[in-house]
Amino acid sequence: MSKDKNKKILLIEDDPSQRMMYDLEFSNFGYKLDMASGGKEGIRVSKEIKPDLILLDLVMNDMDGLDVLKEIKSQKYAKDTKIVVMTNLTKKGLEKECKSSGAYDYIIKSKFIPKEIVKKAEKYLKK
Amino acid sequence: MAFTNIILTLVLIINTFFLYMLNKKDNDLIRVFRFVNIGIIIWTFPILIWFFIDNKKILFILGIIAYWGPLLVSYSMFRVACLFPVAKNLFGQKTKIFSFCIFLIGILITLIPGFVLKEVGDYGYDLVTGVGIYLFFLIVILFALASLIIFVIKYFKSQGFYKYQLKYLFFGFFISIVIGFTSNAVLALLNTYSFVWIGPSITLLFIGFVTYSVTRYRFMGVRLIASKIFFYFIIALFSYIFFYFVYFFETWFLGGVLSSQSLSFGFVIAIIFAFVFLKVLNFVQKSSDTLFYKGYNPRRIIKDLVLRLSTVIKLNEILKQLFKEFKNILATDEVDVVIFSNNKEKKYSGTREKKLFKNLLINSKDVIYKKIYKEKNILVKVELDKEKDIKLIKELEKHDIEIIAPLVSHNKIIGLLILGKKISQDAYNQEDFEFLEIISTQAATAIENAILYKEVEEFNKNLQKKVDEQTFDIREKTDRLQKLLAMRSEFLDIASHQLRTPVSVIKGVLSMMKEGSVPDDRKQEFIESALSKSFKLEEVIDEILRASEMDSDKFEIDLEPIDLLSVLKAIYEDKNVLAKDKGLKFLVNLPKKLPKIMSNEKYIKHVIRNLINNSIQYTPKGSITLSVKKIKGFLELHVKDTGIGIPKKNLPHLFAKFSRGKNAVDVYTDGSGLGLFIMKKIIDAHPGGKVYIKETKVNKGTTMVLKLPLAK
Repeated sequence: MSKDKNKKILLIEDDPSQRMMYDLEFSNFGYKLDMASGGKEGIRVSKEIKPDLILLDLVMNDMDGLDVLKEIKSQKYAKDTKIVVMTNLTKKGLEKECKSSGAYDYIIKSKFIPKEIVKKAEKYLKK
Repeated sequence: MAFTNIILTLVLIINTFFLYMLNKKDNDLIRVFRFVNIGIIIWTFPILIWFFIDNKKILFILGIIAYWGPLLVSYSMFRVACLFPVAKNLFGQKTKIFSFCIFLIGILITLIPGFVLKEVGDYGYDLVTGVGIYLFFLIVILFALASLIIFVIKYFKSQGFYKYQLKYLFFGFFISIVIGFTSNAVLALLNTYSFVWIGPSITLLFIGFVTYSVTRYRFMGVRLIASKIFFYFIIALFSYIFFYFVYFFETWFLGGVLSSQSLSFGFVIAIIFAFVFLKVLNFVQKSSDTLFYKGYNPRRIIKDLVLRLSTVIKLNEILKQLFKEFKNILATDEVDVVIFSNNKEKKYSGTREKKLFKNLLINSKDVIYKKIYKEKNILVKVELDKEKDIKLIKELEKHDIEIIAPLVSHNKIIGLLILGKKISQDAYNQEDFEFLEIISTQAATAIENAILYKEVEEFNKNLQKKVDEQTFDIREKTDRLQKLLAMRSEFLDIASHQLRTPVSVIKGVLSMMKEGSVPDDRKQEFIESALSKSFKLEEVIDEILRASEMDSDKFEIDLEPIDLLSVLKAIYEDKNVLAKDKGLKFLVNLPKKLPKIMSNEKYIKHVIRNLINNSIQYTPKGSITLSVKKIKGFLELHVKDTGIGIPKKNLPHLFAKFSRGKNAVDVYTDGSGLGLFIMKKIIDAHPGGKVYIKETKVNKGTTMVLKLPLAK
C-alpha cells in the first residue's frame, strides 16, 4: 500500500447512484472514500476530516457547488486541499470561474468511467 | 450770338426731353412740374427766334409770350412747393384758386395794351415797358419768394431724403431766380437786353438740381435718362472742344485745315483721338454710373440680382435680397411677398392685414384673386380701366396696393409680390415694370428652388428620423435575438447536463461490470441504478423535446371542457405507488362532483404530474395532499407537501425557463428546471390560468397552486 492510499479523499455528491459507483471503484483501488450527500454536509465533513482531495459536484439540491468550493477554500485547513470540480455542467466561463475560485481541476463526469476518475485522483494526490 | 443760340437750343432740347419724360406719369406734383418745363420752353423759345424775325408785330407778341414764361415758371414752382414732397395740396383748395387767380391777373395785365409792354424798341432787340411791368414783376417775385419760403419751412419740417431734395429744389430755384431776375427783369428795366438769354438758360441749372435730387430717389426711369443725358452731353462736349481745338491749331499754326501738314497732323491726331476717345467714353460711362447709380448701372443691377437670386438657396435670404432691391430700385417701402406653399400662406415683411393674404390665397370670389389667377400677369392699378375695374381699383386702394406681380413658376402661381406706393408718391414707370417682370420671373424660380430645397431638407430630416426609428427597431430586435441566443445556449448547457448525468452513471456502471469491478452481491443494485438512470434519460429527452416545442411565442394548445376529477383520479392511481415507495402518504381531499374546466387533458395531466413529482422528489418524509377549491369562475388545485421547501433566493427564478441563481449552477438535478418551464408555458395558454407557490418554508413544506378557468 503506497503512501497515497492513506490520503483522505472526500466526494461531495447528492446523487446516490454516483456515490455508490465511485465508492466501490475507489475501494477497489484501495482507497477509502469519504462521502457527503450535499453541499452543507460536504463543508461540515471536510472541516472534520481535512481531506487531501475533494471531488466536488456542482449541481446539487441544497447548495450551489461553486458556493461550497468558495466556502471550503476560505478555510485555513483547506490551504493545501486540492478541490477538483466534478460535474456534468459545461457552461461558458464556468471552468474558468471554478479554477479562479480555487478549483484544482475541472472534470466532466460523463467523459470518464469510474476507473479513470480514480486514476485522475491518484495523479492529483501525487502532485 | 452763336453761343447764345447753342445754349438756348440745348435748354429747349433738354426741357422737351424732360417734358416728354414727365408726361408719362400721372400725379399732381408731376403735372405741376410739367408746367415749370412748359414755362421754361415758353421763356426760351421767343428769345431763341427773336433775332430771326424783323416783323415788329410778331416780335411784340413774342415778347409778351416770353414774359409769360417766368410767370408760369414762378407760379408752377409755387404749386410745386405746395405739393412737394407729398402730393397733397398743403394750403387747400382756396390757396389753389387764389394763386391761380393771381397767375391769371399776371397773364391778363400783359394783354392790356401799353400797360406792361408798350412796343418793340427801335432797334428791334428791346421792349419798351409800361408802368404795369412793376406789378408784373411783383407777381413773379411773390410767387418765387412764396415758393422759396415754403421750401424753407418744409425743409425744417421734413426728414431724410425729402429734406435733401428740398435743399436741392431750394438752391436750384433760388439761383435761377436771382440770376434770371437780374438778367431779365433788372437789366430789362435798365434797357439792357443782351443778357436776356441767361434767364431761361439758367433754368438748366435748376433742371440739373431737380434731376439730381430726383435721381437720388433712385427713381429708376429718371436715373436712366439723366445718366444718358449726362453721358451724351459730356461726350458731345468733349468732341466739340477737341474738334475746335484741332481746327484752330491747324488754322493758326499749320496754314489751314487742308494743308499737307495739317492732313498728316490730322491723321496722327485721329489716332490719338480714337485712343483718347475710348478712354474718355469709358471714364464718362463710369463716372455717370457713379454719379447716378452709385457705381451700378441698371443692366448690371438686374444681372447681379438675378445672379444672386439664382445662387441663394435659403428662402429668407432671397426675400431679404428682394426687399433690399425693391427698396433701392423701385423706391418703395411697402413690399409684401406672399409665398403659397401647401395651401398655407406665408407673409414676409410689409404692413398689410393678414386677412388680405388669406383672401388672395383661397377666396376665389375676391376680385383681386380673380384678376390675378385669370391673367397671371402683373397687375398695375393705374393701368386698370377706371370704369370697368372700379371694384378692383377700390379694393386695391383699400390695401394701398399699386402693383401685384404674381410669382409664376411652371405656369403656377407660387406667390405674390405686392407693392405699395413709391416713397416719392410717383407712379411706376415702364422701366419699373420691366424690372419687375424680369425680377418676378427670376424670383419665382429662385423661391421655388428654395421651397424645393426646404422640402428636400425636411424630407431628409424625416428620412433620418425614419432611419433612426428603424435602427432602433432593429437594435431592439437584435437585443431580443441576443437574449434568445443566450437562452438557447443556456438551454443547451442545461439540457446537456441533464442528459450527461444519467449517462455518466449508465456508462460508469456498465464499464465497471465489464471490468468485473462489481462484486456479485452488488450487481443487482448496480443494474437497477443504471436502469433507473436510463428511464430518467428518456424522461429528460422527452422534456427537452417538449420544451423546444413550446419555446415559441406562438405556442397554443387546444382548450376544451374537461373533467378535472377524472384526470386527478388517474394521476392519483399512478403517483400513489411512487409515494408509497418513498414512504410518503398521498392524501386527496376532493368533492364528489366538480364543474368542468377549460383545458387540454394531455397537457394538464403533464402539469399536474410534474407538480406531484416535484413534491414527492423534495419531500423526504410526511405527506402530499391534493385539494380543490372553486373561486369565481376558476378551480384551484392545491398541492401541499411537507418537504424541504424552496430556498428564498430561488423563488423569483422558479418558473424562469431554466431556473438559475447568481452562480449559474442552480439547476434542478432531476431536470425540473425544464419541467417548471414547460408547466408555466402550458398554464399560460389557459385564459386567466396561473401556477404559483402559495406558501413555502424551508424544511416545512411547500404549497403549490394551479388555477384553471371553468368551462362556460
